Formats: sequence, C-alpha cells, structure tokens
Amino acid sequence: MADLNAIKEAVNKGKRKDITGLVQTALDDGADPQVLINEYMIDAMKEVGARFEAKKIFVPEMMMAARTMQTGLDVIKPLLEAQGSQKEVVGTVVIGTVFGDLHDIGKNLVVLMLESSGFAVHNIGENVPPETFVEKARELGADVVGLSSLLTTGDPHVKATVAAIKESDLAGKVKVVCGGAAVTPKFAVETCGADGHATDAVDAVKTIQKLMGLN
Amino acid sequence: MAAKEHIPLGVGFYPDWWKANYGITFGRDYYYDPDYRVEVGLKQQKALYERFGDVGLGQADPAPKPLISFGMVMLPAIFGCEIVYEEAALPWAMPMNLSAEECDKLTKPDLTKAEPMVTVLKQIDYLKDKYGKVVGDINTTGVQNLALKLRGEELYMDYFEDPEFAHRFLKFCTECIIDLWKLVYPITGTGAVDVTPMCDPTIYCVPNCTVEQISGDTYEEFGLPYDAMLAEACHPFGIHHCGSLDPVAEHYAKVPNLVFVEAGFGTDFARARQLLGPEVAFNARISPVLMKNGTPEEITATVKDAIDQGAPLSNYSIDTVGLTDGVPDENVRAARKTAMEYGKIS
Repeated sequence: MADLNAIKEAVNKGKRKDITGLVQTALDDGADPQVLINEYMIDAMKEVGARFEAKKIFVPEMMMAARTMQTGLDVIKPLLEAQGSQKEVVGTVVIGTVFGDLHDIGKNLVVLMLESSGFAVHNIGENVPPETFVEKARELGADVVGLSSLLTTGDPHVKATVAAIKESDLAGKVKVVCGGAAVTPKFAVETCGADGHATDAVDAVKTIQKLMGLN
Repeated sequence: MAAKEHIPLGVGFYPDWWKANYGITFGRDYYYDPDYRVEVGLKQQKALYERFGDVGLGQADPAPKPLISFGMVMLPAIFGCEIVYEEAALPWAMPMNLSAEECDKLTKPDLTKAEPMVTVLKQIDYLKDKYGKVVGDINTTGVQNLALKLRGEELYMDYFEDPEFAHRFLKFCTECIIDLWKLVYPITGTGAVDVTPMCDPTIYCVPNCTVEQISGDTYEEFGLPYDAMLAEACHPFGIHHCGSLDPVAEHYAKVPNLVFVEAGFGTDFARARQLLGPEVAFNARISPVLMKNGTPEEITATVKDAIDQGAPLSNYSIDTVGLTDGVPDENVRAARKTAMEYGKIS
C-alpha cells in the first residue's frame, strides 16, 4: 500500500524527482485523486507557506515545493479528466506586474502558491497596462485580480489599474488584491481602493481566500 | 582630509523623479550618448542645489563629469539578454531562461570585441580626449544576479536538483565578472561608482540584489564560494545587499578582503555591524516606501534609530536611494537634517 504521507513529505521537502512515482503508486493502489490533492498536497503547501512566513525557508525552497506539487498534479490530471471530473478549482485569479515594472520572481511565486491552493491562475506577465488587466479579467472570468509592484514608481500604475477595474463593468464582481515590496496596506486599500493587500505569497493566498469567503 | 563631523546621508532619486520634476530622461540615449550623460549630470547638480542646497545637496556651478555608466545590464547584454530602456526607469535585462545545456555551452566573451562594451570603450576614449579623464565604472552585476538573468528562475531548482551544474555555472558567471572588472578598473581606478555612491569608489563593490531571496545556508553553499572568488581577484571588496541582511550577515563576515557592506531596510544594523566587525564600513538604507509615504517625523525617527544602531559612526553612513516621484521634499530634508544634527561623530 502506498504511503500517502510520503507524498506530503515529498511536496514539503521539494522532492520533485520522487513525486511522480509516489503519486502513481498511490493511484495504482486505488487512492482517491481528490483526497491526494486536498488532504496531502495542499496540506503540505500550507506547511511550506507557514515556514516561508516564519523565514525558515526562502524563495528557492518554496518554488521547489510548489513545482513538486505541480509535477504531482500532472500525474493526477489525466485520471481526473478520464473520470469526467476535474481538479476542484476554488477560484480564478488574473495576476500581473503593473505597467512600468518588469520584476517577476515575487509575482511568479504568488502564482505557484495560488495554483497549489486550488486556484486557476492566469499569469499575464509584467509591464501590464491597466486596460489589459481589465480585458483579461473580463475574458477569463476572474474572481480576483492580483497586482504586483516592486518599485514605488509603480504607485500611479497600481492606482490607475485599481481605478480601471473599479470603474469598469467588473466593479463589484472582481476583487483586487495588491502586493509587492512597494505597496503598503494603507496605500493599496485606503489610497487606491483595492479590496486587499498581501505582504507575501503566502499572505496573498490567505487574503484571496478570505475575500472569496473560502476560509 | 578633515575628520567628518557627522555621518553622511546620501540621497538618490530614481529616474522617474527626474523625468517628472525636470524632464530629464534616462532612456537608451543616456547610456549611448556620452555628451547627453554629461549634460544630464550638470542639470542634476544644479537642480539639486536649487531645490535642496539648504541641506547640502547639489552644486551651484558644477564642473562637467565625464561619466561612464551602463546600469546593471552590461554582462546580460553581452550574452544576449534583451535590454529594456525606459525614460523614467533604470535599464532592465529580460531573463533568457536558457537550458542547462545552453548555459554549459556559453563561453567567456572577449569583452574588447563584444557589444555594448565596445561602445563603452569608445565612449571612454571620447571622454578622455574631450575632458582629459573619465569617471565612473561599469556595474558588473552580482554572480547570482547574472546567473538568474541567463538561466532564469530554474537556477533555484538547480540548487536542489543539479548542484554540480549550479556550481559550474556560478563559477562561469564569476569568471566573466572578474574579466569585466579587470578590463574596466585599470582604466577608471574605480569599481563602485555604478553600484552605490556610499562607499569608497576605489574599492570593487558587487551588487548582490537577489541574495535576499535565499537562505543563509544556501548562500553559504552557492554564494559565498563565488563572492570569495571575486574578493580574492578584485579587492578591496564591498557588497551591496538589497533587503534585510539578517539571514546572511554571518556568512558575509567570511568573505575575504571585505571592507564595505551596504544593507537594505529591515536589517538589524547593530547585529550586522557586530558580526562584520567595526573595520567594515557600513551603509544602512532607509526604505524608499517610507520616504514616499511617511511623515517627516517618521523619517526623523527612522534615521535616528539607524544612527543609534550604527556605532562605530566613523565608518557608518545612511542613504535613501531609489526616491521616486511623489517623495515629499520635507522628508528628504528631515533625513538630511537628522544625520547632520543627530549623527554627530564625537
């Protein structure tokens, strides 16, 4: 019988090379794929997130864990599709770095964490103008738009993007969450009118889950 | 040289501040047209004097400064990264996301024949002919910075899954950086101007902008050997560190020939100084976010706190780099005045 805790441990420790075999063995032994995802992989990522918040681990360890989980999901996905079911999607997030800013690592980490927490995430890249955020959020049916800004030069673009969303037909339907080194909670929420602020990738997941009533 | 009366507090405005306030732009021309760069330097000094002369910034009648500069993109550009130039931002190298095999096939460039270094070397000749000298240098970028630009984020996966490749590639990046320093330093005699104005320009200062993303243990394994290699080849040696120094301060203390460290906000400056030792000059950075959004009272309190942590003050400094459009002038004055009045060196 497969050791399901080994799957959790593999995600936790970022053992990407081990996860495929472990998940396949578990599935061959009859494990429920949704249980594998929800009770082992996502749980592991929660533990990884807690260690990241506590500064016990850093960006590489977190990326490794998230990519390990994605590799595990790649094994499960065909099975779910064959069963006519899909991995449960808890919400849709469109995320990008605001206009004038080309930084990507922090935002990409948020993408990995959200995907690992069951969200469908559309990463629309860097240097994204406000109107593109609106168009993509509309086109992809976003529940939440995430804005990343590392530099204070991005402040006007964060403000303009939040305004563009709030003044569009998406107002009231799509929540906006801002994060990145340059963005303070006061600026995001009070000055720009965003629905939430995230201090890091783990906090982004928590904030979005809270805004969507998921926790 | 007279002893300093108070600790220095540097002020550095980001290109968007210059564009918004004075129409000065930092697009491709700034790096490719040496006359434009000299003209910008003069305008900057005059503008700072008119605006902040009361707190000692700028010069009323500056002399032309025949400066060379290439942002932090010289080596990425030589290897083929797309460089994005913006009028109101620093140039940015887009990651190439090469495979490990492609990285292994890279060879050390002949810098005297590689663009844009060839252009910069021509600029040096031009400026020397015109002004009789050249100042500034070329930011070499840091080892992990360069590796990330070429390999992309996958480098972080390599640290776990293919550490032999990671070491091989980091060593290659280190050798390229040493080659660049060896080419430029004999010409200019400086190795820090294009990185930070806060240290002795004659030392070599490496910008470790991405080291804040890794743990102390990871730095010990994948950073320290290569910073040590740099420091053995290019010294006296300094480190610019973005963000908090706390996870790596004890590891930086092992770097040979280290004479300067610059640390970002969030650092326990007192602990860092203790770990690095009193002989290592130290620059503490104030958050540009605070400078933009804080009150003058908050700035004063933060600068005072940084000063309180900084002893010995004789080789301690503070700066407020990266100030963007919208930073209140009062905050700049508050920071400068606090250093002058509270940062007295007795």
